[in-house]
Amino acid sequence: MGRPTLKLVPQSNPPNPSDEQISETARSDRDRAFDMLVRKYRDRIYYHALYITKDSEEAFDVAQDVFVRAYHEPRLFNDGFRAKAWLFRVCTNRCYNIVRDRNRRGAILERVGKQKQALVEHHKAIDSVVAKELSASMATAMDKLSPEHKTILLLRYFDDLSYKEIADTLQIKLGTVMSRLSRAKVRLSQVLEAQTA
Amino acid sequence: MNCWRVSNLVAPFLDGELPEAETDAVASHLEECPVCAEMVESVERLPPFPALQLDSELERPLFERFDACLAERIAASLATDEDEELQAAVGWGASLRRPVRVPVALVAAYMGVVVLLGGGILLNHQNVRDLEVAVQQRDQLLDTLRVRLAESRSVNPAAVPVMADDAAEPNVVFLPAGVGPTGLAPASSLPGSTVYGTTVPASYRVSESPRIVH
Repeated sequence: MGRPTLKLVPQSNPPNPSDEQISETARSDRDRAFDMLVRKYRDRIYYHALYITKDSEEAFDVAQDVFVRAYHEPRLFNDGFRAKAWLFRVCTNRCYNIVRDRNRRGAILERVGKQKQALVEHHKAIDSVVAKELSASMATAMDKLSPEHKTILLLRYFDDLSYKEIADTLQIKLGTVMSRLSRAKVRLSQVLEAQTA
Repeated sequence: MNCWRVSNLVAPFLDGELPEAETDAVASHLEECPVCAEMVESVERLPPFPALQLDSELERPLFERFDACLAERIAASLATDEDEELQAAVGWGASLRRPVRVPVALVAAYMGVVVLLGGGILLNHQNVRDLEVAVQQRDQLLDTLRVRLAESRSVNPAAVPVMADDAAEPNVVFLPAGVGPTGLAPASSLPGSTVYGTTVPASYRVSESPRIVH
């Protein structure tokens, strides 16, 4: 019996399939459904990771880890399993683990030989663009917030998740989403006012 | 609706995520409370969040490589899973080839239990042995006493009470030394009577139910 392979380049997928369509596809062809899921969420997961880690190569690794874990998650296409919230939750946790480890070590991790050289160069080019974009005052103010406030603002206003999806992602109640988001916005406005002053 | 409640609802209020009744309650509070109104205005003035979107020149090759790398990593993870399953299927042979790491604390606890159990067993054996010796000594003593009792009964059977288990204990009188023959007097020898030619003084006390005490 041959080793299972992942088909990542089917051409007949709908342009923007809904989660229900993906789950429906998984009943007959799990690999195809997984491919649809990757294409739908890979850029959002990557940018979410990039916003937190501010390192293209680490964000790339995190996004890859998230989808490898998703591939091995048996409940991924089950009815009632919220795959989108699961992907953002795993990504957020992984990112903050990386940031925490980086802060502990006080240095950028060595990743020599981990990626191909062409890809490493590409990451450097992306990092320079990201650094320029994130130098805006809003991004600077975001960095002064607690991880809890920063995460919920990112999920809502950057990743465009609904309140219900945020509750599923962070595994908190809907009322907690409302209050935490409100306090995060009030705090952000205070930080921005202090920066302006 | 109070100020604290409004500060916890400002985001869903501005995002239009509140039910109508709560939206009206927040709005009416904002008309009455200038502090909360100022707070809500400052939140409303927040600039839009910076969108991290790479241009297509950077983004397209990145995600093309993303797909290729992901396929490789998933294939590698599947191969790892297969190796682990294979190792698990080999059974005892595979597990014995791997070094077994046992925590030191577990070994120490195991040794402690062995020492305690062994010591307990030895102590118990010693106690049983002592008990057996004591029982033997008691049996020997009883045998000796029975022999002596039999001998004394053969000399003067009337003076020696029969101490059979089911026999009734005879009434006996303890006489003072030098009065009458050595030994026990029969039950009829009460104070005032004559025993072997000697009158028992009335001042002598006679037990109602005298017993032989070892």
